Amino acid sequence: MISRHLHCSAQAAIPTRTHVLETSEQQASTHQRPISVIRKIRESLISRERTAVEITEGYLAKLQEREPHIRSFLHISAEKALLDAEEIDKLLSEGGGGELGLLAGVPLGVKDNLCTRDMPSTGGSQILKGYCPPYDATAVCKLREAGAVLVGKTNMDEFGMGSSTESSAYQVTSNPWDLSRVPGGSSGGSAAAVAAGQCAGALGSDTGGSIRQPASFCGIVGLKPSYGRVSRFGLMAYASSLDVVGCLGASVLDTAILLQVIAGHDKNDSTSSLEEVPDYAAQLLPVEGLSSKPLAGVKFGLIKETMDEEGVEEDVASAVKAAALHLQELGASVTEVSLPMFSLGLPAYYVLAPSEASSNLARYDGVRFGPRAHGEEVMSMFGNSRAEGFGPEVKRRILMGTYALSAGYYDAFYKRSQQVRTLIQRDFKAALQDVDVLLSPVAPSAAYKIGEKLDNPLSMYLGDLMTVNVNLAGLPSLVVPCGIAKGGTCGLPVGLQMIGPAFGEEVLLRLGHIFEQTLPMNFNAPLLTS
Amino acid sequence: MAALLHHLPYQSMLTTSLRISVAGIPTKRAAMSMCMTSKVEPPNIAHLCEKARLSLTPQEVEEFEPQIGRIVDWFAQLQEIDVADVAPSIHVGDVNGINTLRPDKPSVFQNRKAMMGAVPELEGSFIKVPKILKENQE
Repeated sequence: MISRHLHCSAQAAIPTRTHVLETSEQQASTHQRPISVIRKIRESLISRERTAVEITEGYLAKLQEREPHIRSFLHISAEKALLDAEEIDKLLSEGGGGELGLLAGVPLGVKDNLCTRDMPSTGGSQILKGYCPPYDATAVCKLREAGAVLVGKTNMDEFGMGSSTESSAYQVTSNPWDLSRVPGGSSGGSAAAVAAGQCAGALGSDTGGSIRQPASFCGIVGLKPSYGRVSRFGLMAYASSLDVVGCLGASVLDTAILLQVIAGHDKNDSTSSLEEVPDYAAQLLPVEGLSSKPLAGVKFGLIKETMDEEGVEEDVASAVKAAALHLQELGASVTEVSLPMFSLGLPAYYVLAPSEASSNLARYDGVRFGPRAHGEEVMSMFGNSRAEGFGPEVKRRILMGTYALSAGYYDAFYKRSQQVRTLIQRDFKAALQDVDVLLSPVAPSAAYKIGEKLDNPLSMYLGDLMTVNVNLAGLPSLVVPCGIAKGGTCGLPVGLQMIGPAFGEEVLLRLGHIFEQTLPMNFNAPLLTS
Repeated sequence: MAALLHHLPYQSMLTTSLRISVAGIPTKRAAMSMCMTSKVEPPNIAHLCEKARLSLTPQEVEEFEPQIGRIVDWFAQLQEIDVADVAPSIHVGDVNGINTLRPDKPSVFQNRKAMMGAVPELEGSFIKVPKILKENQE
């Protein structure tokens, strides 16, 4: 049963919302298919129904109105956003509609660990307070080239280290479904901003689930591309063999369009792939034209190890099972698949990611950027700048990584984790030979309360069980809302994770689109309906 | 002496690790992990801080020691499986990405002014740092 009590004082602080709450049952009876916000903006620009300035003003107004409650942005760039929107309108009035980029006039948020030359980029850390990078990350550059209007930088766990956005050095972000809960993390600002309608879509990054888990917690679509699909140039490195830049949107089509823009090889990132970028959006057809069994012949495998009743909450397991049934109704087959090494992915990840982080974060030493602390000689200046600049979770991970890479322990921890990583990759490869796409929950629970896991880092890590393996294997994964769990004032969203073979984003997006368009449920955060 | 000092809190930490009841990790595994950890030295936070160039307060060291110890204890489950003939995973994902290295030609960064503008302390066109001599003499 869905709780209908209005008991959350934080939510009650928002005026005008109490009379507009809908229960998920009511939402189901008035089901509206998720629409592409990005495509709608494009259509209204081309038909001259609205100008880019009007659209940006609309989003900025919503952003400002909701920001005191959600706190999803670390920097808001209203003035520059309006100037960029004016440029789009100028292009349109000069008859340049044909040259409109894929994201012309689309207001977007960018996670704060992606470098932007006209906005501060702190990675959620005090150690980069006030830092303005001298260049744009490649993904950001591509958004601008496609005509996007960047409205600001979104909050995140410091350098991506966290699963709730509570590790941000600046502010705690709230979940638009229940302001007393976390939005997930580390891309929690991006997810909350999209769910609250503060921007039309957003960029995030995913090292161990940082796009997918917040997408699930906030009831939106999140896409973690294959390793190498999107350039990491200008992304603040956390764990370079796991980091990917990806996108968050209100619908599958929105994430497809965003990926279309940011994907591709980049000479500045030698790990970015030469693999051709397909037309992702072209595959996503209106469902009216599809047969009654559009997924006939498609084979899904539900990962057994993620449905263990000890490890996953009942509501989450039921939502995923219901999603599997829905896929079967659409003609697909769903079987249970075992990945024997799955549970070892989590400790392997928490050896490898902090090891890489301890090396990557060595650059923050108070010499070239960020605030410098006092020190009589250079070593104490390094130590003091880092002690003052990093938060507790970053310090813990640097120390864990330093320990795992220490002489004598390297074989027991780092090398062994790399070997486990090979076994995990083999498991995925074998499973994906039998089925087209793997299914699993995104996290063991729906969004939890702010502060609930803050004092126990290990319990926070255990929440990443279902996502880290995908990064260890470098595979693409799409998260689509699939059900509602108990909690909050009208339930909390639960996402379905679809994992495909390397560079199989096209298939994931096509299947995710059909799933989303045919599922008779709406996922509008209560805040949105006010 | 130092080994003894940090050994005590670690022992108490091992007993607490058995009581962690967190979803997803069977208790049997926690028990096995505990046995395995006895093979590796527990982390000495003060020593790690030196290596990682982090000047932590004694309070922070005290707070981190059991937390990191518990996590390292949990890592021990990695020792449970046989990986003798398994190659470590050095490359990830893309096998087509082999030829993505660009020619090693220097180029001029176009926004030098902004780059130098982010430096906390400059002297002329040089980055200034506190004296380095003391450490070099070690």
